[in-house]
Amino acid sequence: MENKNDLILEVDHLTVNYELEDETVEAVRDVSFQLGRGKTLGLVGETGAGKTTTALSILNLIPDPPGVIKGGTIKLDGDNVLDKTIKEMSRIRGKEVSMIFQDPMTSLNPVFTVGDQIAEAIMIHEKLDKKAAFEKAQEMLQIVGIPGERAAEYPHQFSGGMKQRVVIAIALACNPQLLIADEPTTALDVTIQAQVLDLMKELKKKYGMAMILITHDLGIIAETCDDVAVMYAGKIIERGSLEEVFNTARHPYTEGLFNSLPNIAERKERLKPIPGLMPDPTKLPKGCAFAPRCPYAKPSCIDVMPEERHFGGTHYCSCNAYDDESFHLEREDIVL
Amino acid sequence: MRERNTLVSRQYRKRSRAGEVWHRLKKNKGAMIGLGIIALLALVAILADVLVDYDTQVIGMTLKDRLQHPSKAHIMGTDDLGRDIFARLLYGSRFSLSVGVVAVAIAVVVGVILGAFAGYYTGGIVEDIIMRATDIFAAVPNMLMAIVIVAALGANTLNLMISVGVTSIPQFVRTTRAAVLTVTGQEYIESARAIGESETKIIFKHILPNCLSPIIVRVTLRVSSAIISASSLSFLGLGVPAPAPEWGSMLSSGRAYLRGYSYMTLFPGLAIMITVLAFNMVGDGLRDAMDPKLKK
Amino acid sequence: MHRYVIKRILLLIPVIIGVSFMIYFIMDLAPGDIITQLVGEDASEEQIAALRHQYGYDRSVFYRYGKYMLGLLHGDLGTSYITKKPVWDMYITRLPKTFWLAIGASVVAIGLSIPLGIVSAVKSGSLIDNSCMVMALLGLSMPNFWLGLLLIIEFSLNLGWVPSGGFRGFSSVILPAITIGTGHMAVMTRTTRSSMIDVIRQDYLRTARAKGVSEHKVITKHAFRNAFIPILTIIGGQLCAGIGGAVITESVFSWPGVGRLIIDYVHQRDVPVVTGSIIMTTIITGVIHLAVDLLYAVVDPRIKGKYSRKGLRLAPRVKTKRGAA
Repeated sequence: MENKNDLILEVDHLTVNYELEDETVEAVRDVSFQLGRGKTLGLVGETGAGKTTTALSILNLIPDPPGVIKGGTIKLDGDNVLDKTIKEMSRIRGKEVSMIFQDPMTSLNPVFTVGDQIAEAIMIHEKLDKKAAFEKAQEMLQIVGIPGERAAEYPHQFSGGMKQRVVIAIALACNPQLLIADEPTTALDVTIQAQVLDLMKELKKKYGMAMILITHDLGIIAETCDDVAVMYAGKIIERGSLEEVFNTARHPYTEGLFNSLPNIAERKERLKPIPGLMPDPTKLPKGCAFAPRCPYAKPSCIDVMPEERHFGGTHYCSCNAYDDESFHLEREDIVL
Repeated sequence: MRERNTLVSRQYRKRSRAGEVWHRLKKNKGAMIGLGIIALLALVAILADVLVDYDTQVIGMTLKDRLQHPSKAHIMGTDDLGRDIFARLLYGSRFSLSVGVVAVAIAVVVGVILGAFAGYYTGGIVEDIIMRATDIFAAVPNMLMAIVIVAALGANTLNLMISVGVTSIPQFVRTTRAAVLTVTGQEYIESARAIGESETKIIFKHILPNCLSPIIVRVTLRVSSAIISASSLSFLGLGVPAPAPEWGSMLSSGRAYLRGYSYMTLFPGLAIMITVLAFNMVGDGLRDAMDPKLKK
Repeated sequence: MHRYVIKRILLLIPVIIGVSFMIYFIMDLAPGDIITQLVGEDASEEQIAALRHQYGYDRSVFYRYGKYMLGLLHGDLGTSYITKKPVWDMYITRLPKTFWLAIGASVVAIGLSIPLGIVSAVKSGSLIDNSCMVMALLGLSMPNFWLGLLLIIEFSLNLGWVPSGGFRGFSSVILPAITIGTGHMAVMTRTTRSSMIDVIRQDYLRTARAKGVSEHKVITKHAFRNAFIPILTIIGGQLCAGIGGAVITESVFSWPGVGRLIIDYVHQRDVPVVTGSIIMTTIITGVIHLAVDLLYAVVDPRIKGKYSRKGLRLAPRVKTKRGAA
């Protein structure tokens, strides 16, 4: 177990619901994980698994209504952000924790220059005057690979990849300790994806910040992350270091993810997609949410909520199958 | 909240489009109240001759009863010629409703045809002529235009309908054209073409039905403003001539008696407002029901 | 940008020609002989014939219209049949009064509706929102002339605070401005609310919040600026309607403005006064619309690019795939 002081973020038993008029969506269910200083955590899962909601909770930015944080704690540097006042929260946002969003096309305000949008963060947190902040904004633009003089231009004058660089510049303008990147490259062209990802890796190293990278691309995780957490239907079903999860996956869903990838393990093998769809988040089964799609599921899985088990090191997994001590997945562990 | 999007439409899937709209409209209290008021008003207008006698109660003067404050005998009082205001208001519903409805009907027929042409034959001379003419027409404020038309044609009920109807045309041309343009640009029209559906089928099955909702909403809201315009013109003495109990002209005759007999202006105005309110509530409800995106 | 402005002003010319043609002919359609009305019954045949010739009523309406337009080309709006005064003079003495009324109404409307609309949007579904929306609906459904009369009954007859009509300094502006402003307010509150609701869902507000911008600033700076374009359109439209003459309100309050001028002379079938006044209204309205369009570019930089581009189409057009194919 890591020393508490080395942790930038500890999330414990976080539960978030979206309470609509006639139904409740259980978006995040009892999620716990930790992140060390300067480390990168990859949060993987399908669309709708609750990754973005988890991330937004850290900034206390869940849209309310309908979002309600039902329980749990989110300790940032030892302080629970859920106890903070609105004012304290806006001091944390952009300063301690920054976030990059999925779609750069819509995440910049169309009526302000990009320079002003970067400078705004600097003015709020570093108490600089407008001119100094704008100069620093130009520096930030250069850091993300955009000529400083383009600071006076508006978002519609930039391409998608460039916009995402601007978003990164806004996020990093005040040297945050933690950067949350919510599918930062999904909306970009493949060639641009690599550039933006490299830029993020480089800047992360330069500033020594921790990062949560949300993605459904296992390739990106393998390249960038130290730790991995796999989410399914609002729960983290497996987490551990990159090696633990990638080499010795324990959850049937994680196995399914790897099997549905074309380039991992042996190339000859046919792709094996996971059958079925994620359950309706308003009508989750009492037990394991993956049971209806799980090739190893027993009838009891539907009713029994799996406990989180420790598999040595930092490796945890929630699966009922391990009640049987001789159980192991079909996929063989990769021994390096 | 991707989670939400996937869920919303599921429960409506089995109904037809109109059924779906009606289902959502039913949940809207305001729209239902509005619809109730309109139904009641329509009933009163149809049965007006049964409810009150035109010659004695509506236009028959009883000078000894003039300017009586509301009482049991005359619940809304009597006017300067001794006529029962309540009876006149009941009968007057005919004018307001018919002028509103006929005027908008004129505007819809002309406006939708022109708008559809302009929207469908884009880029051509047809569109240019229609849209330039519309621009010129719309350049004159509505009320002024209506006044000029009524003044030229002469003040009577038919001309009132024509003038209010004609001034509403530009709105329908523009609404229809915009709707047709948006719909023809949609990808499902492209894909309908791609799978080889015929042009007529595309127009009737895809384009027209999808243009309908903005036009229907516009119609309902326009009826309410047509009622206001018509009663305004009557108020100015340019509408339904005396002694017919048009609400606007009743208000106008109350002007001379503001001091002391304010009920003469109060009740006709209230009648106009309630009618207009009802149409506005239905219009708002329809708009929300037809475009669920706009709600919340 | 200059090209755009010049182009827009030039495009006003066909509109003015169209409007004047339309109004002139409709006015001319009216039954009855204008000349006999003018001179009265005891005029001699010769007098009538002379007048008929003077006003061109011995020739066709096209001749009269042509003559009128020839005058307009020289900046002459015509001469009133009745007062024999130049229409320009008649119009220009009325314009300031209408102008002040329009400004007063806009101040009332903007001052109240924008804050109310923003609050309603932010607290959408709350008690405040619902009451604002009910009030707006009532305001929208209330006939102007009725509201005006009710205000007169209460504030000038019962309380005696303000004059009931006429133009007597600042206090006389209050009631008519409120009368016109109420309708404006209703529309503007609803527009502000729906425009803000659209913007409130945008991702860039989340970006702003995520960088630590306070909620107050997120709404007033980031959201409102984006929501402002539809509001600007409404303000422009209402200003135009006001300048064009709040005919009804001016009539209720015996306000000596442009609207009253037109309605008075419509009744008397004074073609030059009505046509001239409406031409002036069209010009002023056109200029206001242009100003609003230029303001769009100030509010939204994306629009600016469209104005400076060459070969621009003046009416906003939706691009269709079919049109391109």
